[in-house]
Amino acid sequence: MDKHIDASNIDFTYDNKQLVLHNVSLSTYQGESVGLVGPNGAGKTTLVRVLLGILYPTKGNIQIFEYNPLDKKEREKIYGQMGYLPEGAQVYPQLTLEQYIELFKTLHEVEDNSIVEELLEMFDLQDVFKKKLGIFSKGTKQKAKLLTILIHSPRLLIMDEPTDGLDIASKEETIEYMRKLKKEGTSMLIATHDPYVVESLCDRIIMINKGEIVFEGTTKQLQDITQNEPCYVIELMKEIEKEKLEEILNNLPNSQKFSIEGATIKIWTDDENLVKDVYKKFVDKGLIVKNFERVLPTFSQAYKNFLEKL
Amino acid sequence: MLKKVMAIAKTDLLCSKILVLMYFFMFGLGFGFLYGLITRFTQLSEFYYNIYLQQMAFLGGGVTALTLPFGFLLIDKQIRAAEMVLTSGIKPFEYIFSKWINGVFFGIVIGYTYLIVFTLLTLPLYVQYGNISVWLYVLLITIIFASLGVTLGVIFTKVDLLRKILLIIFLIVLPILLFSLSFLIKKTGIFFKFLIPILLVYSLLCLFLSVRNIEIKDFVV
Repeated sequence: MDKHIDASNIDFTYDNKQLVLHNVSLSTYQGESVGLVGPNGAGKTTLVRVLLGILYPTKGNIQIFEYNPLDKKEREKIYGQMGYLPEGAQVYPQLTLEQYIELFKTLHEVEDNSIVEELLEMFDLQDVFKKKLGIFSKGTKQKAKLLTILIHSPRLLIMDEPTDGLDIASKEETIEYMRKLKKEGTSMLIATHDPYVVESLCDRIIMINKGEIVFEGTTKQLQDITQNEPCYVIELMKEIEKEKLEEILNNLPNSQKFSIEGATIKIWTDDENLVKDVYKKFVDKGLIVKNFERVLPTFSQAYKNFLEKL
Repeated sequence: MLKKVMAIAKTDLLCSKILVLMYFFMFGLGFGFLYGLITRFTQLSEFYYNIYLQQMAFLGGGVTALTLPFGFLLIDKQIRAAEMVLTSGIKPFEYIFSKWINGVFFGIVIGYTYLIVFTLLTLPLYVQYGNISVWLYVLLITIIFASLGVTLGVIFTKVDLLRKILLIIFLIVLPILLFSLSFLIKKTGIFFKFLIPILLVYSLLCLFLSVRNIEIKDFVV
């Protein structure tokens, strides 16, 4: 697969005093979406701007589509093939949506109108096409901005908080469209605080804290490593007397933490075999097990746990 | 390139049409007309009356040309629209050029409208307005002030100390030039003929120096 972003050992400072980014390396591949997560002020937006060549790193190499964004001539070739949504960018309130789209169509040299129509339909913006952006809600403005970065079918999308202000339905539709773009080979780097985006769209996450990458991997890997003690859930078909279940669970070799809520039994243990034994004992006693699985913390919990451990 | 520049210029035009109308009525026609009438009632000679009207055309066009590019640059940066526009394939120089074009365009519109309106209102003076140099001066003055407006906008978007010092110098020089301009054009047209080319070279030099090393980061909050 083609590497779309390849950045290595980036250092960046605003005033030559404190490093805002330190030894940051990252890459994204064709058709891959990478989530850039981290607390406020961690350096996500700065990293995005450095990758785009807006800010110059004090150290390190960056290649986007094998071009150097720090070189002014090569940067133009990159910008023609990518879409960038800056955080907090505002629309021109005096323009109609039609005029706003026309501006970006000209800037991206797009002549075909079919993709605009497709995007208008996807974002449900046909009805407000002739209306002024100033009267739009925050979410509709966000949709308008998203539309303008997609009209030239970019190979790479770099987005800073793309779902900011979107309602759940719009968020889902946007993510669905992004998935479609991914399948077509578009790669994405998404700086976000939205766990829904991370869980449903990102193949991989890069967590940044105080300007350094502190974690790189899948959301599942993050959930795995942040679970203090693995939790297993056994769900029975029918609820039975609590005492009977306690009898089985109290006879376990080590005193394990467990909880019983109706037909659901939760066991916290590092020993997977032990849980399998419990499962076997339930079956031996004639209990029908509906579901048996290891439960991972949610992404938000894992993210929080990880940062607390730092 | 020109297509992209004109697209941004058109956007600014659409965004500022109310503002320009306000300029036109308040500063251009309203103030100018009153100014013209007052001078008329004070029984000035036709020559001075003519000069007063020309002065308003120059100032109307000049001030519009100065303030619009300056305002566009600052607002675009403030609302973070510049970051989005500049990463869509347009070069910073082209972006700046679009603002300059806007300043010149609106300056000419206001300046020439002024001349036309007063030509119509003061038909006996038509011969004097018919002098091509008056129309040329309005064009040159809008170019001068649009260049200064862009320079001012670029300087304001930058924050380093050296440029702040330059800004202060620039802000001192500019009023002196304005004062000289208004003073000299009252006196005689000969000084004016020299002043315009000098100001033109000065403003284009300012524009060139300010745009020379312009970067996208200068327009990013």
